[in-house]
Formats: sequence, C-alpha cells, structure tokens
Amino acid sequence: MKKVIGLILAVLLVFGVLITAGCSQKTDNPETPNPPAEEKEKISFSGQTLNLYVAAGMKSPMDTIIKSFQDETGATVAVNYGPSGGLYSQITQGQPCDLYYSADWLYIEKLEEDQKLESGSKFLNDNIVLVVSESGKSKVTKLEDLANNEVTLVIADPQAPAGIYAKNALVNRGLWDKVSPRIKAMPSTVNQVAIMVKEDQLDAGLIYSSVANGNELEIAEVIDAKDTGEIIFGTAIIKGAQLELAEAFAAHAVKNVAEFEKYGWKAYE
Amino acid sequence: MLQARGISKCFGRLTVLQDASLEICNEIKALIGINGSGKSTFLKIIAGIILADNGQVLLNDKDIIGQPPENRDVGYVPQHPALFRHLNVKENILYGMRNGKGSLEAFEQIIELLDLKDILFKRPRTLSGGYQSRVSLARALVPQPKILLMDEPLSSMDVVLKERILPDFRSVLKKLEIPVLYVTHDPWEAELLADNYAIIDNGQIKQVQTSTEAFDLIRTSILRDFERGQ
Amino acid sequence: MNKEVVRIFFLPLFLLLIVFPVLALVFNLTTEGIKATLVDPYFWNSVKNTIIAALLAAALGLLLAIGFAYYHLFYRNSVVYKIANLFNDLPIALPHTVAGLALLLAFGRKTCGFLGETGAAFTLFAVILAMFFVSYSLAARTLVSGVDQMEPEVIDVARTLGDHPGKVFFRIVLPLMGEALFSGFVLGFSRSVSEFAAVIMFGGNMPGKTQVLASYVFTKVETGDLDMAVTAAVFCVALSLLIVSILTIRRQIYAAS
Repeated sequence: MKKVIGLILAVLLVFGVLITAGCSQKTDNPETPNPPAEEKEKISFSGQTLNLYVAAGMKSPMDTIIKSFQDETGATVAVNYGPSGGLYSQITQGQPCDLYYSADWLYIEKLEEDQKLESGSKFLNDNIVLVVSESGKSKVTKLEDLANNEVTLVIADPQAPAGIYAKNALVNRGLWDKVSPRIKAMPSTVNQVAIMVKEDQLDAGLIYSSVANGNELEIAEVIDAKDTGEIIFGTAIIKGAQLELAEAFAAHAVKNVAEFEKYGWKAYE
Repeated sequence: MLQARGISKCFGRLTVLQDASLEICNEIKALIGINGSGKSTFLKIIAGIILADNGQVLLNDKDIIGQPPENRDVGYVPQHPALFRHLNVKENILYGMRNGKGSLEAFEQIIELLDLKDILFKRPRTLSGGYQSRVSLARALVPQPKILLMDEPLSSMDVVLKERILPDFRSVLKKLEIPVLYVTHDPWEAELLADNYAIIDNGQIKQVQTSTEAFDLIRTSILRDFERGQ
Repeated sequence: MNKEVVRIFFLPLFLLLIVFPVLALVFNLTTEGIKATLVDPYFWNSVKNTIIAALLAAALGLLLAIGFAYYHLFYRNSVVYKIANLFNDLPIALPHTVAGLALLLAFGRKTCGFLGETGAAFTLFAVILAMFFVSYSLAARTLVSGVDQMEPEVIDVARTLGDHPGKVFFRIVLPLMGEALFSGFVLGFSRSVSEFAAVIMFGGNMPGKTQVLASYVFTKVETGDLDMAVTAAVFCVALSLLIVSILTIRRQIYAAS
C-alpha cells in the first residue's frame, strides 16, 4: 500500500514539474488571421500574450501604457519589472522575452554582441538630477554645494550605470576629489537612493529625473547630458520574438510617449 | 525536624495533593505510594522545586515555604543520578562547597563511607549505575543538609544491586545521623532502608506502624486503582 | 516499508533541489570571470567586510540568544519573556528591504544624529547590526531547543546545592549546551553572510567600507557581468563551507578531549 502511495506521489511530482516547465515555454498561440494593412488601427491580438521586460524605473508610466494596449488590442501583457542589468541577464540565459525596455542603451548594445537582438531603437532621454532632502534643501542648491563639509551625499553603486552617470557628472564638473568623501552610501539601485533621500537620511542624491519625479523628490539642479554622458532608454525586440505583437506594442508606447514625459523623460530625437 | 502541614497542589484540573501532612524527626522515613500518587510532587515541594498551592513547611521550626531551593538547606537525590557531565566525580561531590556549604572533613568522611576514593577523577559517563547513585548521594550529603530528600533513586536498578546498595546507604545515613525522607513505590525497598513508613494515597498521607500495614495498604490501593481502570 | 519510501525519495530530491543548483554555479565558472574577479579590489574588500561583520554579528546574536535562553529556562511566566518570545520571529518574517529600511529609520541620522552625520547608518557597525537583526532569531531558537533538552533534575540538584538561577545557568547549563551554542553561532554566521538587502539599505554598500560579498554578486548580476557574479558566488559558497568546516573540526576536537 505504501509503495502505491509512493508511486502516485512520484508521478504527481513529475507531472507538477512538467506542467510548470511547460507553462513558461508556451510559444504556440492560436492562429489569428493576419488583418489587412489598412486596418492597422483595429488590429486584434486577442488570445496572444506579450512577454515584456521593463526596467523598474519605468513602472508607473508603463503600467498605464500596458493597460491601454490590452484594452485596445485584447492582447495580454505579461510584464516583468526589474533592474535593467538583471533583465538583460535573464534574456541572455534564455528566458522568453519579446520586447525589452532598458534604462541604459548599453544593455541593448550588449544584446547585439550576444546576437540576441532582432532590432533596437532609442526611445527616451533622461537626465541625472540632483535631489535634496528636507534637511538638505537649505544646504544644497547646486552641484558645487556638495563640496561643503557638512553635506552628505548618496549615489548609486558606480559599478552600475546609474552610478557611472553620477560619477561622470562629478568628475566632469571637477568636483570628484572634493565631493567623494561626502558620499556616504552607494546602494545598488536608484530606488534605494531615492528612499534614502526621501527619508532624509542624507542631504542629497544623484538619480534619474524620472525616478525623482516618481518619488516626488525636490530637484535642485538638472545635470546636463554633456557632463554625464547621454542617458538613453532604449527598446529592443529580441530574436525569436512575436514580431507583430512586439512592434505593435512598441509603436503604441511611442504614440503615448507623453505618458513618460510627465515623469521627466524626453522623447528621443 | 521537618513538619509539612496541609500541603495541597493541583495541576490544572488534577488534584495531586490534598491537605497532605507529614512529620520527620531524626529518622529515616519512607513515603510509599503507587505511581501517580503524588509522592514525588510532595518531595519536590519540600525541596522547593515545585510551588505548593497551600500549606506550610517548617524545617527546625523555620518556615521554608517561601524560600527558593538554594536557601532551604535540604539535600536532594533525584530519581536519576543527574550528575554534572562536564565535571569529574570529585568536582560533582564538592559542588556544594562552591556556595559555602559543607566542609572538606565532611567530604573525606563521606567518600570513605561510600567507598568512592578510587573513582574521584573519573567522568560520570564512565561509571556504572550503582556508582553513579552513590556519587549522587555523596554530592547531596557533603553540604551537611538539615534533611535529605530522596526521590526513589534506585528505581531503575535490578533487585540484586538494590539488595547490596540499600543496606550500605542505610548504614551511611545512620552514621551521619541525618533525617531522611525516602520516597518509593516499592515497600520492600522501604523495609530495607527505613525506620518507619507512611503511605500516600489519594493525595493524602497516613502514618503506619509496621511494614505489614504498609504492604496491606499498598495492595489495597493498587487493587482499587486497577478496578477503577476497568 | 516506511523506511523504503523515505529512502526512495530523499536522495534524488536532495540532490536535485539542493546540490544541483550549487553545482550549476560551479559548472558555470569561466576563466575570464575568475581572472577578472580575483584582481578586482572591490571583490577582496567585500570579502573582508563580510567575514568580519558576519563573525561579529553571529557573536552578538549568540550573546543575546543566551539571554533569551535564560529567560526561557527560569522566567517563562515573566512579561519580559512573553514579549521577547512574541517578537522573536518577527525579524525573519520581515522582507529584507523592509528590515533594512526599519533599521535606517530607527538608527539613521533622524534619531541618532548625535552619533555622527549619518547616525549609526552607513558604517561597518550598521552592517553588523543589519546582519545581527536578521540572524538573531535563528540563534535564539537553536539555544532554546538546546535548553529544552536539558535534564531538569540536573538543574534542580544544582539549585538545592545552593546555586541561584544565574549561577546554575553559567556553571551548569551553558557548559552542557556546547552543541547548541555552536549551532547557534554557525547558523547566525551563515545567515549573516547571505544577507544583502538589509545590509545595503542600512550599511550603504560603500566599496571598501561597507560593501559585502552578497551585494557584490548582486551588482554584478545587475550589470550583466555574469562571469564575475558566478565567480564571486562560488567563492561565497566555498568560504561558507570552509568556515563551517573549521568550526566543526575545532568543536569535534574539543568534544573528544
């Protein structure tokens, strides 16, 4: 009797593994007849699922875009928010992805080197901004003020893109030597930087304007792209993706770029 | 002299002791009861290990019921030898002296009486059951307590061993002239060791004169419990 | 028959779910990754920070757990014990970033400004504290289970021989709890080594000062440098195994004597 139970359990276990593995591999969709080109507005993708990877910083506007896309086309969007680098790693490891929005063009170039890129396009520009906390407001009104001995600063880990841009800003403005002792924390994500400034644990921080606006932080200065390097948020269609669906979504996002501009991004010229 | 009066104790809804009283003068008194009769509980209340719900305990006319065990000046020999594993035999026996209890003379006398000289530096886990019991007794005696409380320490031994050890224990205890309360479920053990007997039954204690009386009462209570169980 | 069912299932499940992922890391090592990582000064800094902080955090956790065990043994009905017991499992129930945020709000400059310009945050001490916060519960549970396994008679005898609870605890209970104390320390240490979210939030992740190995690996994954991430991860595993082995051997030597 026990052996029978054991056998049943084993079968169930194997089944369970297969089903979960199968679920994430679902690529065959029910056939929908291709509508004629003129009726692009009324394209329906109902029954299809788009595998969308989006840099975490874009969540707020992207949620709105996704909803309108689902309503208009009937498609389902399976969205995965995460750090751009982490998402890049997942894609290179073979996780199914149709469309990838990266907070740094660097990863899209990497995808091209890895030969995983179907096509890429530059979508948005962002800037690094200097944000100040409740206590920092009075001490810091411009980047140069960071050289003050009483100021505490936080930037993202310089091993990651957001931190690189921040460091570039300070280096190119000739402030790195004086300011680097004022840096007290270098967390791995911009969101953590934002939280620390928001909770007034430090006086100032250097983050993307989109993150600053998303967290309702006070901006003291917008850093020019020439000091940080151009910050490009890009779109990538991955090799092997559901092309029509991905392109439709990308176009939809471009059409609704105003949603992003609300948060501080600028459409890429 | 120990006087315990009106001791009551409930564990939840179970009444274990009900107005139990006992007096022990300069003698070895056995308290006999079947398993579950409350004899260990009674002993532990005197030792201070369990708190009574009600009652009074006077040791040499001093009320000890409000005192923690370390202040009661009692000796306790539990059911299992419970030797301190990380100390050797000598350190075990002299443990009370760390708190200023007992003396080296008492130590010398007791290890002589209990024949422990040869094993002083052994670790408890290398000793046989019989030796462990003796060390446990010695450890309780060195601090020269006002009364010795023994909670059927030989219950796990075979008859042959008991037959050898019990008279030894008796002669040691008599020589030291120390009052003893010896709790057991075995009337025969009591006969070998004690001067007189008491029975504990239904949460109450009754003094008896002879061992025959004790045997009879025990037999009755065993049978009654057996029938109840039916 | 029961024995056979267990034996059929245990080994394959254990190998598949526990051993295999670790081996997957090892099999993904690349020479470029190893080279790049071993020359990176950030890497060695994070190793140093991790070991020092985790050892201290485990020691601190053990000390506090000893205190908790004391209450558990002698004062189980007290208010102090009941409150401590209630909150005991709270730290590990908190998501790690939340724990880090909690520590930041509690000990950052808004409350502990007198300690420094950032309060207690963004220092190595903060790293230790964050690690301690997430690993204390494990040490406490281990010690409590060790205490529960003590023979009550041993403690009763010591009391009648004149020891008040404090003396019994230090003379008898702790010496006999070697196994539990050791496990408590090792668990605390291992948990501390693997913590990063709380450490980043409260410690600040400053390379050379407060960056730990786990967040180094995380950053490398984030930037897509998987080769280096794998190397650092394998190093982390090897380090944990090494330290646990050293401690285990030392203990076995001690126990045999």
